Amino acid sequence: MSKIALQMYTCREHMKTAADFEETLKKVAEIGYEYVQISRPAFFEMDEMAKLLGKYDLQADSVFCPTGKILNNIEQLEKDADILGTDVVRTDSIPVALRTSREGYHEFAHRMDQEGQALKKAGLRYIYHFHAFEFVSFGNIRGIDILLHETDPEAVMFQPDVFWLTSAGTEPSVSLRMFKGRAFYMHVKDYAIRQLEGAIENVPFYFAPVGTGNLNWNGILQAANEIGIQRFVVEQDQVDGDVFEAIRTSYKNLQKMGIR
Amino acid sequence: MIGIQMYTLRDFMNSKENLRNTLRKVSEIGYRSVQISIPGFMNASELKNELDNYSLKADSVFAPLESIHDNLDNLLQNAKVLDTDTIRTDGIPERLTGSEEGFRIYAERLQNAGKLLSKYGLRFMYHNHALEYSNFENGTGMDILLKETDPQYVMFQPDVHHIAAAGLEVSHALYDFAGRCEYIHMQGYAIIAGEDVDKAVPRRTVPVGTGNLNWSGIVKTALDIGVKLFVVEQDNCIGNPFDEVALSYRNLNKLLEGKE
Repeated sequence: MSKIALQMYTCREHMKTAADFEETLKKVAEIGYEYVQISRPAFFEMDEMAKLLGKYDLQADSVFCPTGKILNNIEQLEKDADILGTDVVRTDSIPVALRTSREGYHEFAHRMDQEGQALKKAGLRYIYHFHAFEFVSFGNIRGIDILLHETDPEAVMFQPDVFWLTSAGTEPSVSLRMFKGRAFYMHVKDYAIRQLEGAIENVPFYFAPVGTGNLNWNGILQAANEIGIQRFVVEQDQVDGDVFEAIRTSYKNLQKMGIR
Repeated sequence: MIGIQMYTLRDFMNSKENLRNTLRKVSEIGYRSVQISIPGFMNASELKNELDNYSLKADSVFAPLESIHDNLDNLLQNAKVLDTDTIRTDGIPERLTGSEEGFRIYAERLQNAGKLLSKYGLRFMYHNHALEYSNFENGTGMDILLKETDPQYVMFQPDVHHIAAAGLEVSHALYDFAGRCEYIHMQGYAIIAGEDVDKAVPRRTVPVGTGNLNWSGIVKTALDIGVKLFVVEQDNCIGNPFDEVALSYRNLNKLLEGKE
């Protein structure tokens, strides 16, 4: 079982037709990926997508459902998860309207908890993927602290992203430990700097393949190991140049770091 | 020891009277060391008098890199008047930040300036931001500046906010400056709510001890590598700047308590 996966969002520009979709899965499999994080495109039914994944020996690591829609779709999610052979449901971010106050985070934590409990009853696991904005401070508490502490560890899991942990100002090899026992997948991409434009205080950062930027990978992998991360999911939000070269570099570099 | 970079309070120093008021307030907060540029409306001895009046001492004299050779006599005189042996300089020009070659050129200029100043018993210090961490095939721009200058001629004044903004773990990355870093710029890094941001990072400079940086790790490493002066510099304040620098002073005192 490979510990490396790919979030197919990275390749979204090459998945807009059924033919492109298949071609992309083929390339991804050729690089060596065995697991993908994928959303069902409008032009396929779930079993059609499952069949295509099977054709290229790719396994979906989760199904996707937007937050707010989970409680009304438990049966459908059970069915979809069954078709894809996974027990994980991943969701999107806290709604914009709830991001600006402590109360908003309390409300969203409550919703996550309800959704997580409902999925748990159905034998499914719920994961929330965060960005940097959840690290907003409200006095001495942060959004992410509320989401972590006001949800049931048995029902609500997280999918940390080392890039966003960094851009939030935390040190991922330290802050990952917040998620001990609460995370089994982790998003990986590098954080790099390009030539400055404008004021000297500007930060011209960009998304880069794993191992080609400034992140402290040794420390990150050690922490990931300690908190129980089982799969490293390559997700590069934006790619300069050839996206397949970028995901190949990430794959190779993860392997060089000992992730198999 | 704690100091303040007066750039933080730049909006309150545009006349003799404002400068005096600002120095008085800074002194009342408890600061005894300032990083200040000689204002256009004063000469070095007038500034020295004002600083003396408020029990403040300048930690360095500022000189743009290009001016050091031609204005050497003046610089020596100002350092003598302000009773400091440290010259600090500005950042690498934007046009040199796009290539390894550009950084090599700048490293050579830093080296030459540092060598020249050392003949007169002066120490030379470069203050970096995030832009020096731009990624090249063989490492970062900062790697080049560190490697291609001599520790006895070129010191560094890293900034913890900007190192984090470059994607590095500050408590780890500071070790690169071991033995050549006596001053360090301290400002927090926080995420501010209210913006719709999935992709951008609403990063803000905030007082020391607040926000998401790993403060205890940073202070520990800083003391390990020989930092003697923790200089509060906050590029932008959201609230009253005097309140914010007072908070930084109090929080830094707490962080350093029993450790220096």
